[in-house]
Amino acid sequence: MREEPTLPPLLDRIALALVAAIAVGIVGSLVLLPKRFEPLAPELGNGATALSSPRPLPEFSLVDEAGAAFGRGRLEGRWSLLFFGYTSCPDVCPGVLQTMRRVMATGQREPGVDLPQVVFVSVDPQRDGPERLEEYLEFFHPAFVGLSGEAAEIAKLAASVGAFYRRRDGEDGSRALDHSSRLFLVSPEAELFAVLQEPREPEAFVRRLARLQASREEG
Amino acid sequence: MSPILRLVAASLASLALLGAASQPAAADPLDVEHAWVRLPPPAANAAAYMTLHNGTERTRTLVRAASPDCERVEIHRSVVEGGVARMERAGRLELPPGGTLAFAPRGLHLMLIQPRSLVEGGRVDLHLELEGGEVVEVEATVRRSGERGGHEAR
Repeated sequence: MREEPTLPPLLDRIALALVAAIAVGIVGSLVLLPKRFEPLAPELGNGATALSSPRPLPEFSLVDEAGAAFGRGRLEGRWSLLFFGYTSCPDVCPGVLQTMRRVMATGQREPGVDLPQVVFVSVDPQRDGPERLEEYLEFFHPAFVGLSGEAAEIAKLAASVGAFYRRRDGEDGSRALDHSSRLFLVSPEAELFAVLQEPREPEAFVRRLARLQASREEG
Repeated sequence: MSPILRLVAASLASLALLGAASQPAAADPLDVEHAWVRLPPPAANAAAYMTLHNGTERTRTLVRAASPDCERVEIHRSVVEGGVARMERAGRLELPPGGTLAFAPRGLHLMLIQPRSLVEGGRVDLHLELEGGEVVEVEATVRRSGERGGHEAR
């Protein structure tokens, strides 16, 4: 094949220049943007946000569903997932716990994940004592841990991971609590490691956990 | 009538019957689909979910719900926003002609307060009271979860 004349017509040259400018722009923003907008907690996609530096949890003093003391030490040596809710929540809490039950079953078959202990922290400890939590959580999974105790200790644990809750009493005596819908992943060093959106699909959630755990080993 | 004609006539008649059966009964102000109750943990409140459709010519308004299978029913809405879940009373819910309203996890739900002891696969009767006094009777099935195809229904 023979080469065509070298100088392209004016319009082609303008088009070429435009394409080149756009390409430079795209490459430039790819290189520069991540630095400019580097988030404190990079989004890992699919609803997981890992902290750039894990945040150590403080000492705290709560009681588990068996009535035994549960403090920071019970988070050491294994992965944990904290969820803040209350047992009279009819919709969101049972939905999350039901899906977590399925996450546990799915995770059994997935060698890449180190299944965490699931810790349900009651934001309504006046009504959710250990006995109530035991009966409630047994329904979902015998291994789920339920924490209650002094309001101030629950507030301390919640604040340390950035969980939110607020009690709203109705004029008719009803009570509802607003609460974080996310799950807080705590590393075996008892450090807040990542914040995860509540699970919808067990398989995706297990993969997300495995990826987060792998990122700790690499890091 | 020849046997063939009779067969054709019978087929047509049964087709007409089928057609009539698949039409919503004229008396139903709302069509209800996929009504289920999430099996609650012991001594916990339950939530009922369903899809309502208004196939009539005028707006229907859901004002109240009741059930013989629990102490009280409240119409609530969960709102999950910015990582925080909250629950609010839904108040009156209007369905314009042709309108659909989905009660689903993490959204609208009927909160069943102090339900009698429920079992998976069991049935819960619900009465949806509409403005004007009409009542829609719903039979909901008790299920462990609402997942379809492995996903938690939303």
